[in-house]
Amino acid sequence: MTAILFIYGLIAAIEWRYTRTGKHNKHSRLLIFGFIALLLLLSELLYLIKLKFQLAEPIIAIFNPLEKLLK
Amino acid sequence: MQTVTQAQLFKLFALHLFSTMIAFMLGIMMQQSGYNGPLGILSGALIGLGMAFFAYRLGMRRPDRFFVEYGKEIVGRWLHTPLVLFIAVANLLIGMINFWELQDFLIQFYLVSTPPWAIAGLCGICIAYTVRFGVNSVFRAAEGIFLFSLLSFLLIPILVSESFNWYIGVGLATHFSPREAWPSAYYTSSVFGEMSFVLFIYPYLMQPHRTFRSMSGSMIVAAALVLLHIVPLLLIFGPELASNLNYPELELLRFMRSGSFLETLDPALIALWLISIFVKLGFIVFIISLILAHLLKLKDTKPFVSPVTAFIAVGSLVIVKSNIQFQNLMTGGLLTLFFASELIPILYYVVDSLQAAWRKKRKGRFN
Amino acid sequence: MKGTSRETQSAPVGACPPTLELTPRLEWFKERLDRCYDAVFHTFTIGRGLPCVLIYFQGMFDYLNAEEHLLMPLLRESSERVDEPAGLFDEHRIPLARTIVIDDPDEAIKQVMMGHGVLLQENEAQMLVLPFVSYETRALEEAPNESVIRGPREAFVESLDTNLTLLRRRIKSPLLKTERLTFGVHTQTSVILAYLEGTCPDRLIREVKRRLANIRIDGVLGSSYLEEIIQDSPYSPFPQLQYTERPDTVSASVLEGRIAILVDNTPMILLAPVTFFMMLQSAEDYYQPFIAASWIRWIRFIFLSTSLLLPSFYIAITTFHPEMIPFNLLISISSSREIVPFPALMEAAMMELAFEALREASVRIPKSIGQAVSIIGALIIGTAAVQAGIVSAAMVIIVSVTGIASFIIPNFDLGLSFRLLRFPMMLLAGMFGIFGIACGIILIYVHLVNLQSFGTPYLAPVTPRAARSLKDTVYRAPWWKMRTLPFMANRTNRLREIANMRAWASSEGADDE
Repeated sequence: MTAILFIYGLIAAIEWRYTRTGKHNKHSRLLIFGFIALLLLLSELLYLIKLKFQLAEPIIAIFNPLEKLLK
Repeated sequence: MQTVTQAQLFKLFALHLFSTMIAFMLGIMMQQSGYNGPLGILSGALIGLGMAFFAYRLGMRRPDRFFVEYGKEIVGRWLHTPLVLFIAVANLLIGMINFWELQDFLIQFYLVSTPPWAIAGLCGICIAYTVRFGVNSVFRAAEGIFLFSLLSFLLIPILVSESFNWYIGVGLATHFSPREAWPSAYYTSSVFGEMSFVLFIYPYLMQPHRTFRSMSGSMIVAAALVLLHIVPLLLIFGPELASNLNYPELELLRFMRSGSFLETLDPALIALWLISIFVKLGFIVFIISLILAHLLKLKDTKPFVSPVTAFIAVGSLVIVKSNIQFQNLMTGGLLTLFFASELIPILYYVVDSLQAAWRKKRKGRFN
Repeated sequence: MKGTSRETQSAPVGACPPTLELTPRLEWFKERLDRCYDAVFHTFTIGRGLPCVLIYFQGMFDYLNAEEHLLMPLLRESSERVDEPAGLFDEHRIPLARTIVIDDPDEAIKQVMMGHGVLLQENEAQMLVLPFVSYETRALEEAPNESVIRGPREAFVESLDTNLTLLRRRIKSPLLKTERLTFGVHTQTSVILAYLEGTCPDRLIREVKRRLANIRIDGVLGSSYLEEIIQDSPYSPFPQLQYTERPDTVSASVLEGRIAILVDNTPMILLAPVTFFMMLQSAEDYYQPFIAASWIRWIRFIFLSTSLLLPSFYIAITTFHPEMIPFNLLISISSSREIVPFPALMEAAMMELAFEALREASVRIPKSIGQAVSIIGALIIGTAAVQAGIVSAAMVIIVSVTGIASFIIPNFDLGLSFRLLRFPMMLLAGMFGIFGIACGIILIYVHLVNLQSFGTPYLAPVTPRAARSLKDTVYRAPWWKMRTLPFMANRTNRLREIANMRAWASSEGADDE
């Protein structure tokens, strides 16, 4: 949990430094950091419910019938 | 802009196809197809190349524009965004399962008590570092290690050739069943079809008209290498034992150590092979970052690389609960998802062709 | 570019009085050179009492030469032709070549500082610069750091003029351009850019000048001052400019379209751009038979990777993957490790550090006791440490082989960066085994792939590939096959030699008949 937060924090710090030196305007910076925040939330969510839900489940549910059909 | 040579494209795709295919997929192939695995791989490779052909044709129509940007002119914004996002998600999943397999394999064989997150973290750092430098970094990295990687993968079958049980070879010749080969072909084509993601990097390519030639070259090299590995596996372990091993290729590597002097060769091979996989994952991360950046109308992919890699690393830790679930995932839908994502360029190609034909017809009527 | 504006600003004395009289101007010069013990103001008269003054620095100006060729004739002449109003600048009367006439007093001060003499005359605004520099320089010696067996023995010295001569003597072409720049507000160090026009790409020359243009510094005492300022990635451990003390190496590089940066008072000449593989070439390669030279190159490649990876492989295998070692070897290694109380990583780090210390000590200590230290260090400490059970014998072998391997790299800086990177590699190997090594390799590899030296990719010609340049990279092609210059050279001017210089071998010899 904390480790994920820490990693994303580190990434955000690095990208912050990068976007300040680069040719990024306020709008693009907002998009970038919004995206990082979104991924952070998703990661934390997936990590929190990892015992109840895995990404594999919906994939199997949707695509397994399709695959059966093709094979 | 045009900085990726066709030789680099060829080398990256060849690495991309054979590195994970040989390391992770051979077990499933033999489970599904047994003696017909080689046949399945050959036909699958051809199907995969066929899928990539449409991507090539589509890309050639606008070789200096990015697909994510012009795609909406073909199918409309509201269909384009979810379709492209779907491709991004498929790539994310490719990244995650490769990460997972990497961790699983390393923990099983080499780093028995190391926590998976440490491995995922280190992999992530390497890949993010590679991709953050941009598209050239990935392709040049592939160019530099291609020869070493190829040689090392060629070396393995030669080194194990002494242990072949030639009588098993009879089975290869007599068990001929396209029906049995089909699952292998299906899986192989879903891997080889990843070449259709070339569509996204068209503006970076030098001499784009030669793209298909490069991809065919990659296909031939990769298919030949995979065959050179699956046949020895069959000849040594037989289909039954081989299909029950999680990572038959790596067992083969370890099996190789029955020799005397070359025992110490396998760490070097593993190291090289790991580097090939990193380069492959680098390409995948680059494609995802490119899609996301262009969807958000940003020119710069750099800031997306590290978060995407981090997400893949975290995702790889939670994508499945157990090895069993992973096997279920691999044989029960994931590859179909990849397949579907690789078919998307064909959809665009068809729609674009129809539109072009329609426009032409209308123009003709006005004349 | 030349940093002159700041120097004049910082002068404590006002401008020179705008007069033609000698005395106030002399006063101004004296004020400028106040408390300079070595400044000499030599006053004399020529013609019919026309006062002159010669200003120079004692020890730097060749006074005897000036006296013999300038002052004596002038004085003699003035005693012969007393009726004529003599002026130094009236006609071409100075019996000397290379004299310069200036009228800027600040420029005159600068000339004096450079060891030239400046001659002032009453009723004359112009001043005569006598460039008779004379100071002690080192004689040409054998290259101490890049010795060869078959090649020439000369090495550069500290004097810029001598160095330039060494270069000019080898490339007798008007296309060899040498442009002079000056750096250092106080040191006024001359820097010469030498390149072969037409072969060296204009883009490279412009880029070097553009990077040098920004430099404002108080002093430049060595070429590395400039190197750090103009290299592409200053935080990279890898050298991005090559340095050499061999005139033949510089000449070869200039012929291949590279640019040489000669800095005054340094025997080390910088060469740009540089690639990774250039630093694995030695001057010797081109003097030895090509088969031997190619073989030596392969040895270098092997030991380059050894110097980076051997200790980490040892750590990884003994810690994580002992099953990879052949059984008999495993027994001997583990029996030697049995008594060692430290983990392999610790042991290796200790030994490597000790080795680094030993190496550094042997460079710094006076030569007379250097041998004692290396013998004590290598033999006594090594043997004693093994016998005392602090390190294993296997580790001593590993560290020694690694040490030897790191000295095989011809370029000292590259060897240094590999020795430095060995430590993080060992740490990764100690934590993650083979996997850690693979990660370390890819990090270093990707870094190298993306590193550039003046726009030239560091790993070229391997990646990005330049197939024609491989002939002098992975092997050394025989001279009759080095048809084209490497990829750095100007695209339009890459042909080095004619195609069939060995045509005589296929045609029948005259005396065969």
